[in-house]
Amino acid sequence: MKTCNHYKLLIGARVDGTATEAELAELHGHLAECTRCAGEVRELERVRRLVTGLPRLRPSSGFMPAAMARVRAQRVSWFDRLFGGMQPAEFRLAAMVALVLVVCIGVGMVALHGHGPGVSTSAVVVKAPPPHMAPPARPAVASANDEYLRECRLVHGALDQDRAFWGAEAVQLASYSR
Amino acid sequence: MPSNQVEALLQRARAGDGEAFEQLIEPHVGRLYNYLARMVGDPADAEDLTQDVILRAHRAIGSFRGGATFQTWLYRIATNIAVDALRRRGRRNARVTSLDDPLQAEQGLVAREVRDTQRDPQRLAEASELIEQVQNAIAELSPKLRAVVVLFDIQGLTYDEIAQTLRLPLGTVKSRLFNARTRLRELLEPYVAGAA
Repeated sequence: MKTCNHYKLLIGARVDGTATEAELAELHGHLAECTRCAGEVRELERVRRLVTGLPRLRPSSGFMPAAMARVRAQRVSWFDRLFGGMQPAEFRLAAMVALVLVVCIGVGMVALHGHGPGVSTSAVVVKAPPPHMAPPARPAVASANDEYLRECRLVHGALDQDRAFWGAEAVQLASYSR
Repeated sequence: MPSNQVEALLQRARAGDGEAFEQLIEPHVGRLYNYLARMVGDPADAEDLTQDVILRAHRAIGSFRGGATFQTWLYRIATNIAVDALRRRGRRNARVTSLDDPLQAEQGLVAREVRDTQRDPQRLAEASELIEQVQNAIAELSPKLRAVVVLFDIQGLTYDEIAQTLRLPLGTVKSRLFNARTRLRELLEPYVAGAA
């Protein structure tokens, strides 16, 4: 014999108005014998009538124009277009995934290309000058110094962007020109 | 509004056409307001929250891909906003203002001046004790149960639409609805006990 618990789902379906004919027939057979379930159905149907009977509320008459004025004033960024409708939990997850991706890409780029232009001064001073930046051979005569220095400036034009390194080289060049 | 017209408006709205967005959202604003008012139990708060829903929908319209209906999508945004608002309040129950409660004024508590309800049927209905008790009982429900019962009984959504809106399995929607009604039956016992 089926217990009252078995009929809970059918009671719910009947109250919601979604029970099929077969379900209703099965339920009515039980309700005819079980006053407790029959009472529950009546009370739940009464609850539903009370809730569905609540009056429909409407916003004030000036609401819609004011709301649309704010919509027109709203600037929509690409970020908002992508994430604006997400609920906070989803948003946080998306932001976290994005952050992890950025960190991974950053680490990967550093691993692939080594140090970028923003390396520290101390590292440059310790490091030997790259081959293409090595000073030309020392001139044999003093009159060649001007030409030599011009050549140095051409070769080391890039050093303007790295003052620390240029300082170290300048000391070296000065010793050559002596 | 025919579905092809909605689709055309959606395409324009996604491209940033504000007028198209306005035409899309306008038919839903009344229902959204009613939903939010029943969820948070406060008409003034409901206007602010409805405004938030409209602005958020406008910001996110580009991300709406049509997997759900536009209405379902709006209800999903509204539910998220309502639940956030209830959480911010720091309590599960919505604030319900009784017309019988005195007002706190500088000179102490004074009786509310209620408009002549004989000339305003909606306020007459709102002022009735039964309606107030039902709203209070709904406010006693947890936001999860409240959303399901308001969407089904007040907004008239189907099980499937609620499942899509709240991203729940169909069985969960049905069980939550049953649990919500059972809880409401307890809260409204004086009004439903021995119902014929």
